[in-house]
Amino acid sequence: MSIQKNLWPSEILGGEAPNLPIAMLQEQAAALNEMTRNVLVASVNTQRVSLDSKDKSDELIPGILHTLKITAPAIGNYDFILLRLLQDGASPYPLKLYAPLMEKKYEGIMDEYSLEGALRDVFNHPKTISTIQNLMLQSRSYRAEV
Amino acid sequence: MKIVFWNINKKSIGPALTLLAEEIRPDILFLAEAQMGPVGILNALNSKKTTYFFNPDPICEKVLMFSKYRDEYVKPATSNLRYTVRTVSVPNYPEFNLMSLHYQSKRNWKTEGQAAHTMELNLAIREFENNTKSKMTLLIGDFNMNPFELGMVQTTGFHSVMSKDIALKGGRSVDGKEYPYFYNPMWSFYGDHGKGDVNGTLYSQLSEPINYFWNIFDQVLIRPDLIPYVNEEAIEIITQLGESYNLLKKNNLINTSISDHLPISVILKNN
Repeated sequence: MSIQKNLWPSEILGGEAPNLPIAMLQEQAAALNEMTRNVLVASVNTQRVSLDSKDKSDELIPGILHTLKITAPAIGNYDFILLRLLQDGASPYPLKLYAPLMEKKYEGIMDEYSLEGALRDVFNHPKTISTIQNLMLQSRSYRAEV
Repeated sequence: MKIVFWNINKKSIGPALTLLAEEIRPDILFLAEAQMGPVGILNALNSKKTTYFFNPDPICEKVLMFSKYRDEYVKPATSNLRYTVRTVSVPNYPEFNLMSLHYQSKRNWKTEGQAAHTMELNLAIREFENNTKSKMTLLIGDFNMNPFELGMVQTTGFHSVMSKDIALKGGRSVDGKEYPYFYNPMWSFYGDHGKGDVNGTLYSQLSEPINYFWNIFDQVLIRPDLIPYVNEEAIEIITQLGESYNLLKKNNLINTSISDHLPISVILKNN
């Protein structure tokens, strides 16, 4: 089909690029992979989810959920979810962060700086550190039958 | 896509694996007799740059797989203790079945026993090819048999042939039953005028009446459907990791302080 008139403004392809949550998660996943030399593999998965409307109507609104999962291939691909980030709609912020390991929620993350703070908090939490240490130790002790 | 197989003979050869990653740069690497364990191997492969993942198979312990791909691109299709079969589905390459194995050793099984047992492998191969509905299959591993031995040649075994022209006919019928071929390019390495720097992947100097000296136990077998995608010239018995690290001694025999086997490699062309 040939396009007679394009009514879309050209600005839709531009816009300022803040440090997007997904980019920040992917960067941190890559950093963990690098630190552990892929003995632990962090990965980010993004999916569309349906959220309750804020105005209490029955309507469901689309949201975006990013999940940061850590896998230990040497111990049978054991994995756990370190955190989930929830966007209410297409805008990257505000966000909610859930950290299931420490059963902690961070609501109203308004920008990359507060997201960075929350990530730092989750990564440095004693439960995160001990979980990762345990997975590293068990991975090192794995020996295949030869 | 470069696929490398190496039986590392239970040796701790971190520096050699680092060089293998840097100089040979396999996209997929299978290691047999890998007593180093996956973490030691990852540390060696990724010591300069974190490139390789360990792609575990929960059942196969005799062959470990490392690759530049995450698990979802090389999903296990089937396996047992001695082999792993992956469905390799990587963008820009044909999807294919990749089986890597470390077959029963001649120390434990006689030639006849090995040959008899290859029927089990034949059935396993047919089964996963039926399940994946694909005969785009490549086998790589330590077969512990030479290309001319019964298990490698017989219809009910690997049924591999030395000639690509014959393999491209697809298969043959014996006593009313159809048997598909594998092409075995490793025959080309035999003899002083054969391909490459050496005549085999394992050298044995046994004081027995029959001795071939050079054995090609480490082999690549290719189903006819996949032959067009294999860069035949690049099938190699690797004797050197970079300019300075020789896997052979000065007398051109295998430096067994590294491993008693030489690695082999095969390259798949992209679509």
